[in-house]
Amino acid sequence: MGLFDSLLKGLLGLFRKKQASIGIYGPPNAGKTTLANRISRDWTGKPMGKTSEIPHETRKAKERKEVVIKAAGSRISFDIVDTPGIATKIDFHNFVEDYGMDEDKAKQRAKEATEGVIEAIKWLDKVDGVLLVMDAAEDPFNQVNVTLLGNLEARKLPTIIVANKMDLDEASPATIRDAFPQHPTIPVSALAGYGMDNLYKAMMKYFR
Amino acid sequence: MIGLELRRRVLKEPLSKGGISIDLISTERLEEMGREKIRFILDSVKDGKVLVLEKGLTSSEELELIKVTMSEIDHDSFIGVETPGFTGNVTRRTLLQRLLRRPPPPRMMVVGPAHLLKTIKKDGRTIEAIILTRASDEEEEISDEIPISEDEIEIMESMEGAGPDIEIPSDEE
Repeated sequence: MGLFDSLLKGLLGLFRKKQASIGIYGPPNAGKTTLANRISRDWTGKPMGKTSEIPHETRKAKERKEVVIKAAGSRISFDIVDTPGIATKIDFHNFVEDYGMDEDKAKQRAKEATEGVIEAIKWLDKVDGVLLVMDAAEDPFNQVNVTLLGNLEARKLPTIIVANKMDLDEASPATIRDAFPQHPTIPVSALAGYGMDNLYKAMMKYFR
Repeated sequence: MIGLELRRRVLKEPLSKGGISIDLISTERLEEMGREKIRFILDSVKDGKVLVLEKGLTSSEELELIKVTMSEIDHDSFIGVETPGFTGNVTRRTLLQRLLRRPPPPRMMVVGPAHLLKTIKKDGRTIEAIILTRASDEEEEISDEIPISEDEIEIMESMEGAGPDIEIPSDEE
């Protein structure tokens, strides 16, 4: 790239509107990476990360820049950040006993998971909006959901609650709506693609 | 599921001294601590204590507690914290709080070591939690064993070699 091109790009960068950064947050195994993959595949054709039934599969935040979403007659470019699941405890025995993992690997995974939680919390300082992913088949009143929502409210970060896993029979988005009535709740199945259009419309409305 | 091995190891200390310590901490004491309160809470929990905080932590303090906890997890003796409480209640708020966009004040909260304290059920109004005890731990360990008394052992020993000799014919014959 020539000097002129570099200068032009730098000048354009000065006047370009800052890209809104949207963090995907939630407890482990809520379906954050499945959602990140769905959004990224829908608009860029590429996935963002590996998913697994074993908790704490995502142990480092991943960012996909300039994901242009078109919905409700608008077009907005977002940076999507898939964050590691936030937890108050991590026990490597769970990986050994529940998933038959080798002890050394389980310890390593647990160690990386603790670092991932810290990284996810630090990312809260950088994002402009949050998709808070909850497992619609689980009790929404877990401490991570409550603590995260309290923080997002204190920081005045626009938040959409994504009631994920609507493909499960036990899924109940109404329970989430009743629990946190002051936030928009969008039922989706990131796995099956159900409800994604509504989520994109909500993103246009709340993250504009 | 909490690892039994870890529970057994950690349970030895606090329980052999007469049970799990539950400390009720007043609002005044917590406020006096200022920024040291997270350190105090974590040190107490790592000592195996369960704390009942009269006025819980704010949501940002809770997040700080999670952050510090994660940096201190030692997979052999400390796996994290369990924090059932009404703290940072984001479920319902008064009209004034909504108008002022003011977060509700912290409310009562319990903090304990994750291998001992387990939240069973929680909704906006009620929290059910249990403290795992040595009794429940041992029960899990020996549930499939039938206890044998000393008298029974004596009887079994006296019967050794006293029974009829039974010869089992082999297939070759």
